[in-house]
Amino acid sequence: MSNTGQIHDYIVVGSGLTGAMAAQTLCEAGAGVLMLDVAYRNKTGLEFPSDDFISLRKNSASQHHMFLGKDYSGIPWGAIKTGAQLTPGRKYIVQEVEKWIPMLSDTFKPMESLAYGGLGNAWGAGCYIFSESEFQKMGILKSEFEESYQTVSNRIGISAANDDAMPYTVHGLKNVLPAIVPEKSIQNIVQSYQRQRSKFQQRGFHVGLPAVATLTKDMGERKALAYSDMDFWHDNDQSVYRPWMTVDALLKQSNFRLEERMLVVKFEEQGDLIKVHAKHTETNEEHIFTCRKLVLCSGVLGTARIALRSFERKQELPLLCNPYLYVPMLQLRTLGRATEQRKSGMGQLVMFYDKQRDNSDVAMAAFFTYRSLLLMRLIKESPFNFAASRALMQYIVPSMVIAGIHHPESTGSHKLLRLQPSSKTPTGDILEAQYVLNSDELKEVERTEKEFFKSFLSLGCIPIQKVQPGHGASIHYAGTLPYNSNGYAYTTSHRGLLSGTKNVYVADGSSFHYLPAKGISFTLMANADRVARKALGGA
Amino acid sequence: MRNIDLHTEANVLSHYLISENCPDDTVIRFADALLLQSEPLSEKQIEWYSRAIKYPFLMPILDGGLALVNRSSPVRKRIFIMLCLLECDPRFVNRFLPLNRSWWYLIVAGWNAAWAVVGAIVGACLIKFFSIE
Repeated sequence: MSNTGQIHDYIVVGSGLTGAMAAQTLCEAGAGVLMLDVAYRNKTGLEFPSDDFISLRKNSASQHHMFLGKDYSGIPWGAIKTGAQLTPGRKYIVQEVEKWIPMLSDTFKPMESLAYGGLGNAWGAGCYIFSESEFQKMGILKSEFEESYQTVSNRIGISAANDDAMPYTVHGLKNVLPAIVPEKSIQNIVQSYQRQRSKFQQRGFHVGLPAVATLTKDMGERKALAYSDMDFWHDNDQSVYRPWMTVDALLKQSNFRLEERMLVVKFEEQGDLIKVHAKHTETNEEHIFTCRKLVLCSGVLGTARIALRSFERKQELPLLCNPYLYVPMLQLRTLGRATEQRKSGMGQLVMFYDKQRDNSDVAMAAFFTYRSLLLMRLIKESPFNFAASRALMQYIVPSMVIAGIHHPESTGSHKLLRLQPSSKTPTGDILEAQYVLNSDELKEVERTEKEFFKSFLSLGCIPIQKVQPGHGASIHYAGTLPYNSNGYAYTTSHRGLLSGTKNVYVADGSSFHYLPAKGISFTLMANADRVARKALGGA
Repeated sequence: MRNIDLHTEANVLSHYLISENCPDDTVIRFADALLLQSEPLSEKQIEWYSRAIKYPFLMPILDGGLALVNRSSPVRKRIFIMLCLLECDPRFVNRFLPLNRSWWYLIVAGWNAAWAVVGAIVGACLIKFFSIE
């Protein structure tokens, strides 16, 4: 067992979206910060030139390495599962997860990460400010987050349009960059919506361009989006925000240090100090780090493991995860058309279903066109032989639009986590999850999806399949350590302080009672900034 | 494969998938990819796959039949590996990138798909009858 003896002002656990933001806030305030994370990096050695996707496909003789990996592990085979969109250069995001942080469940298949930058390295970059009523259901006031939303936006750069989607995306945010220009097939859908706008809005539907953490103007070293459609493959221009960009910048500061290969296992408060126990993932050696304040940013599931190991009393924790479905659709107008040379690979359109017309309980669909993930992924799913499928997919892919539908989510009796002992894992335990929707929830999900399907048809998009990748696939989690001002075990105060502790803060999504369908990542980052300020002793 | 060399197999698959010869460097990549990513075939599967290499008209029937009966068959994986390599080859980019096509192409594609369905049904019957899954 190794114990450095040094007392750090703050230890931040995790280098993902929340860890990066919390650490930046603490460092900017002059605090000494030690970040602990396993922090696996991309070691594939895959390098991408700056060409756009079409030019690369037409000219590069070594593209088979780039797209399939040097060991051809990028050849997609087997059932679609969570993280199916990870390309060879991004597979490190899930490296050794099954060994170090396994999950036992038939009903819940989450995606977690031990990578440098965490799941944020594959983030779709969608940014949403939750409404007053959504925050109320989450158990906290929106006013607590407003300053932090702006701080985070200034740090990462967000582009958005002032359109019908704005009330549901980043309404009220200042310094927003011009929106990404959508490709033609998406513009067709927008025009179709605008012709029937009042009909859609009467039914509670609002369509517009998404707000995304993607630059449309240069910002420091980061370049404006080049529309190369290589967003799933590399971050050469750093147009899309990734947490490693923040951590890379922090590493240049004298008051920040990162200890890699450290899997934080538990903490112990001893008087005014906190001992943080970690396992080195290469040597298996145990290390103890000491700090005055601990900020947990290891993701909802990771923080749950740490909390459950650290307290003597063990119990089941509630769990939230947005039900998710994706729907490949065909837009007949664009069948058999060559696509534009330059386009963005990120989500291009959003549709909000505001059932109560009050920006609460809003369901959401994000639209993606398909090209840069290559035909092979679609051909594999086709019911025909591969030769016929290739010809068919080549023809229909320009007209293909994929809608990912997220539903809002509340806690339930069959949505639980527990930590079980296990002799088969390096940590001696395993997180077990159960995730089942009750019949009312299932009916509501089906009813909402039916309404979406009607809207898709009205926009000229014909759904051809419903793909249900299972609970966990939304990669949005919350609710394990909910806000509570009574100090009950396994809850968090509104300041982010973990109950039963003096100086352990929870800065990820663990505290939210309710999970809106709008993407949670921007709110998580704002929460991390907010909690870091509370930990610094701010109001 | 039984009495079938890799070069022949690669050419048959390439013709089947994109109606082109398989370049020598792609054959080498195919060999590498098979070493790293292919799955073992049963005796029956080897027998029928070798037959389809020898009589290429059987390939769409075998492939289509397996698509109905056992989509994740190791035989299909072998064909799929070649497909992925061809897609990542700039010489064949026009077989994969979207091109401007008239409405007439939809009728041609529909006709080919209809034949693919017929072939798949025949293939599925053969697979079930001879237990090739």
